[in-house]
This record gives sequence, C-alpha cells and structure tokens, in this order.
Amino acid sequence: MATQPIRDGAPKVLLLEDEKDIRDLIVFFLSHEGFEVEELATGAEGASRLEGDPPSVFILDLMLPHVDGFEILRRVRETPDWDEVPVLVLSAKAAEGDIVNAFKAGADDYVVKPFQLEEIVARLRRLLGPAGRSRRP
Amino acid sequence: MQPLAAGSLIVKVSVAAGAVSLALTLLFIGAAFVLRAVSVRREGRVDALEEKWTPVLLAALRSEDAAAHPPAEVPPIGSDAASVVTLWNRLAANLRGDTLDLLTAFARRAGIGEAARRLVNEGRPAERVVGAACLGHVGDTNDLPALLALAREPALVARAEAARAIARIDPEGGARTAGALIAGWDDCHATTAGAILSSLSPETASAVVAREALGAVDPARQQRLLDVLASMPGQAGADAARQILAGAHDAEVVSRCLRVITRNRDARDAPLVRRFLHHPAGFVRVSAVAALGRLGAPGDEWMIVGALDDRDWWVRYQAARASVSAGRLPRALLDLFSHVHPDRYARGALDHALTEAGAVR
Repeated sequence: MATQPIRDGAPKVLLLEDEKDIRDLIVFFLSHEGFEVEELATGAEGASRLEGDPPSVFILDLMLPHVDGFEILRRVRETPDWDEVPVLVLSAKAAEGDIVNAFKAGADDYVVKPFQLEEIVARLRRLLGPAGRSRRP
Repeated sequence: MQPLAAGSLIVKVSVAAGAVSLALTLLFIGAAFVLRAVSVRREGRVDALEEKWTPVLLAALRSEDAAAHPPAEVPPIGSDAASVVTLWNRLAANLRGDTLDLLTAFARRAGIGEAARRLVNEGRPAERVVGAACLGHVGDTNDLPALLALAREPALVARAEAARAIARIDPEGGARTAGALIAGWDDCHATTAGAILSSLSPETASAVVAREALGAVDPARQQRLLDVLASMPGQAGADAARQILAGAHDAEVVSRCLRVITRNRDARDAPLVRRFLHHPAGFVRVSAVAALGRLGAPGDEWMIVGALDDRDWWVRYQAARASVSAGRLPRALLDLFSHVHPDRYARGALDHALTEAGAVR
C-alpha cells in the first residue's frame, strides 16, 4: 500500500483498514496534520507487518478480511517491540461488549464509525503523549 | 436412389444445424465481449471520476482548504451526477460532527446537492435512492415534497431512503406527515418500520401511529399498526393499546395490545394484563405471561408460576422463562420447583428455561 511522504520526526501511524474510502479520509487528514501514515488493507498484511519496525501508533479496524482485528490486536500485544505500541481501534461495532472486548484484548482507545476526523487526531495525540500533543505541522 | 437422397438431406440438415449452432455460439461470445468492454469502460470512467473528485472532496474536509476551493474550481458534474453523489455519500457515511458539516457545506456550494436533487426528481430508481441519501444531509426543507413522493414509490429501498432523508431534514414534521404512511408499509417488517419511525420524532410518530390504530376499521391494518407500536418507544402507543384492549374481542388484536403494553413497562398495567392470563387463545396467554414478567408488579411472580402447568406448551415455556428472567424468585426455589412441581410438563419447561439461562451466563 502507498505510504505518505516521510517528514523528519513525524509520528508514524500504521493504519489497517479494509475500506478504501475510510483509508483515503484518514490518510489525507493525518498527513495534513503532520503524521506519516502507512496504509494496510487486510488482516494478512497486518499480520505480516508485525515482523517489521513498530509504528508510533496503530489505528486498527476490527472487521477485516483474512485475519480479524481482535486477532491482530492479540498478536500485537504478544510481539516484542510492538507490545507497547498504542492501539486505537476504529470500528463500526458499537455494542458495549465489542468495546469491552477490544479493551480486554489490549486496545488503548476505541472510536466508533462514523467518526469525526478531528476526534481521531485528538485521540492519537493523546495516545502519543506529550511529544505527539506538541507536534504540529 | 431414394436412400441416397434421404441420406443427403440428413447431411444437409446436420450441416445447417451445426452452422446455426456455431453462429449462435459466436454471437454469444461476441455479446459477452461487448458487455465486458462496456463494463470495463464504465468502471474506468468511474475510477477516473473518483480520482478527480476524491482529492476535491477530501480538501473540503479541512476548513482552510475548503475556502481555497470555491465552486469555480470544482470539476464539472455534468452527466456524472450519480457517480459524484455516490462518492460523496460514501464519504459522508463514515463521518459525523464538524467534519460531516464541512462536507455537507461543500455539497451545497459545489452543486452536489443540486445534482442529488436532479437525481431524485428525474433519475432512474437506483439514482433516486442515491440522490435521496445526499439530500438528507444537505437538509433543505424545500426537498421534503420530493422526498415524500419518493416515500410512496413501489420500491421499499427507495421509500426507506426517503424516510431516512426526511428524518434528517425535519424529524418532527416528517413524523407528522409520513408517520402513518411508513407504519402502513406492509412489505416492511414492523420492527424496521418502528426503527425508521423512531429515527423521526418517536413521541410524535408514536402519537400519529396510535391515532391511526385507534381509528383503524380493518382488523389487519389495526394489527399491523399495533405491531409497529410494539417496536417503537412512545407513551401514545401504550395509551392506544389500553383503549383498544378495553373493547377488543379479536384475539390477534388483544395479543398485540399486550405486546405494546409490555414495551411500555408500566407496572400499573399489571391488573389489566392479568385479565388475559386465562384467555381461551394460547398465544394471548403467552403475551399476558410475558407482559407480567416484564411489568414487574409485586406478587405477579406467583401468577406466572401458576401458568407453568398451562395446557399449552408455549405458555408453560414462556412462564418458565419469565420466572427465571424476572429474577424475583430465588434461583434455589426455581431449582426446587423444577424437581418437585407436581406437573411433569411444568418441571420440563422450568428445567429448560433454567438450562438456557445457565448457558447464557
């Protein structure tokens, strides 16, 4: 998948989302907000990506082809170097049980679709801590 | 000579049949190629259009970029209205709040709303649905008559989209003008109709449907309206059900009234419901037992237990489920009943319900 141009010191966001429209929305918005975004579209791609360098923060959809988001989340938490990566789950699953299960599986935050792009940015900055909050394009 | 002539005729017929088969096969293959080429061309056209429009729409989501894209710089929509509006709808479906407001403002500014309006008024059935979804976001009350007309179309998908658009533009007025219409959609499940009405103004929609139910002369229509009322919130539904119940003789109507009352969960309705615990129709007794279980009036748990040995299996099972789920009797006591109840069918029903509840846990 395409990767946005790298800016020095920009927080690296890994986006695993199977819907192209949503990827386009998030990539466009986050890259304008100073993030470097790498896109993946399937659970299988996500699982393979765990062999590489971890991102600063991970945006993860739950309903994915091949390997679902819960499984990816579980593997993230079991993979050295990735286990501390903040994970923001972005899902259409709005049931309380799904949200609780995502947090139990290791999610750090959860946003239900449809979403506000500014809310995603604000939550990412919070997950990234003081460095993420202070970094502006 | 005759056998030779007959043989020659057979050969000629066979050759002709073969030629026709070959021609038809080639024709079908040709048609398949043409259709495929048309499809590829159409997909290519849509891809090119999305490539052109996606950056424009995305830019509109950043307020400072939106100002840099006045309508003059927007690509012409022309004959691509359906594709542009579809792309806009897809983005809008994933957004809410300020971001959605920016996209909607852009739709008004860039003529996408106008294109959606044309689709609703002049488009093919699928295009009208696409247009309605967009118009709902654009939020112009002048579009309500066209959307109300769409809500009377034969295709349910078009009607449902029109109702959703009306709910976005004017939920209160939409409930008044379209409430009875939506409730009467016989090809739409009552639960779905209830959900659509709830997305309008639930109290107003409930009052409109309740009034229709009270005035309905046709029993089938009254039953349908009661089914819808049982699927949506609103005090008016319960008020209507109580009034209808007071004079109802039709068991189907009685059962539905009890379901509407159950949804309202007002313990003051318990005395009214108790009257139907011994109704001749088993399905009415089922509704009465289920209602008492949900209403939660003190002392009714024993009336529900009393229905455990009903002559109808479905009533026994409902009584067992209500006894377990209401939680007003200690589990140990229910376990005891499941072993010592004098009626073996009651024991079976209770055992079944307790096992189900355990599995859910």
